[in-house]
Amino acid sequence: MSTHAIASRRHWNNVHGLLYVLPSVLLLAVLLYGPAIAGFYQSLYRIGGPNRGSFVGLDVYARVVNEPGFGSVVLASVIFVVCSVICTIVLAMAIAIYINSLEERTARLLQIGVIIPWAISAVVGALLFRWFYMSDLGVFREILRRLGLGMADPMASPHSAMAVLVASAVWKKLGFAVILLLSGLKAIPKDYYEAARIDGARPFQTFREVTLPLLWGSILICSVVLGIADLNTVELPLIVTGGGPLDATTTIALSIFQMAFSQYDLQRAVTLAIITFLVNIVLVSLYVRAVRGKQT
Amino acid sequence: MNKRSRRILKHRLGLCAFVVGVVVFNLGPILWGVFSSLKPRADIMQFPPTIVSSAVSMEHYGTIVGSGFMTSIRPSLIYAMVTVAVALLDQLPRPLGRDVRRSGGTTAGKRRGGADRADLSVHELDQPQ
Repeated sequence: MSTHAIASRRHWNNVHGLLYVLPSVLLLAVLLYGPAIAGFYQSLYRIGGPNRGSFVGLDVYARVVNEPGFGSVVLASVIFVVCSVICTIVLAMAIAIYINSLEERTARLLQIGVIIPWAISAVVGALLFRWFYMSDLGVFREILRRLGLGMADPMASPHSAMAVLVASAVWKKLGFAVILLLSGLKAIPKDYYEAARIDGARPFQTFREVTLPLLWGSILICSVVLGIADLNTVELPLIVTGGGPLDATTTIALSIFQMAFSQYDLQRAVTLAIITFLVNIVLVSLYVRAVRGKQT
Repeated sequence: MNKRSRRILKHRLGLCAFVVGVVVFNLGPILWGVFSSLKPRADIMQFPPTIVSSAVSMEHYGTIVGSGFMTSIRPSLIYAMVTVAVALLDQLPRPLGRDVRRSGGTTAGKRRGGADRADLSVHELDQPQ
């Protein structure tokens, strides 16, 4: 066979292989990249109003960033994302390690119990959370009252409202984190624990020297996934706290939602969404690096 | 022996505490929703709240079914089924494409005949990533 024939055959193989991926690429282009690029393009022009369609460039970006509320919204988002990711990971790790030590059947039942809040619809979950934990008519505050730990309305102060919002995010996503970390724990060979035991390591030493380093990849991936999810969640702040009191719990995602659907200011909404999109790209690239690091 | 049985007791107590924690904190809101859906109208807004109501009533389920639930469940089902079908159709040829590119020379599809495309993709899914 001549070199030319081999080269053309290899070329055909490449095209042939790429053909199979074509549907995915087309779908992504139409449903994901298209709208994202169109959104960016639109954010450069005036949407609606008297000078509709005129080029404004990055003016709206400057306006959105310099708005008086922007700093507090970013701060609220950062506090919300960081606190809920840390709380979720710490709690999920404790639960995963405990479940991992149980026998098969109990472990499976408990996993199901923990994952249910994650599996139900986001809006229904947020409503139920609010009803159970926050309402005066809910059971949780009744239990606290019975125990003599009467609690003020959590919506009365900005700090407790943020704490409740973080708690709702932890409640919703805990099961997901537990399952992810549990699979990471299962992948750690038992020999290491045996070796640690023979060397006379205490439980905490075993955790620090064996579990934590080997689980680090899973923790990293889990944190990034949770961070992206928390950054983009609208239904939790919208339903659990409504962004209040005094915008103390208005995250970026809720802010975009309010601009687009309560104030009908699509221009600012699209602009802010593009800014958030850039932050998301950074987080996703971190995720990809974490996944690659885990595989090697 | 005594020490061992004490350890087992401690383990059991820990497990019980954990189960109670999961039931109250993780499942509490959901169970509360389920119980409340069975309460008569007057009991729902009762203060102080009670977990189990005086009577079980199915009136709310009747209201839901009577107020257009059946017409809105259809679009939901169609939406779910079409999404799953499109995602599957989209992903099905993908492992084969990888296979062709990886093997370089002959394609698995050609060698075995094109019919076992589904078979191939199932085989690929079995491999742990």
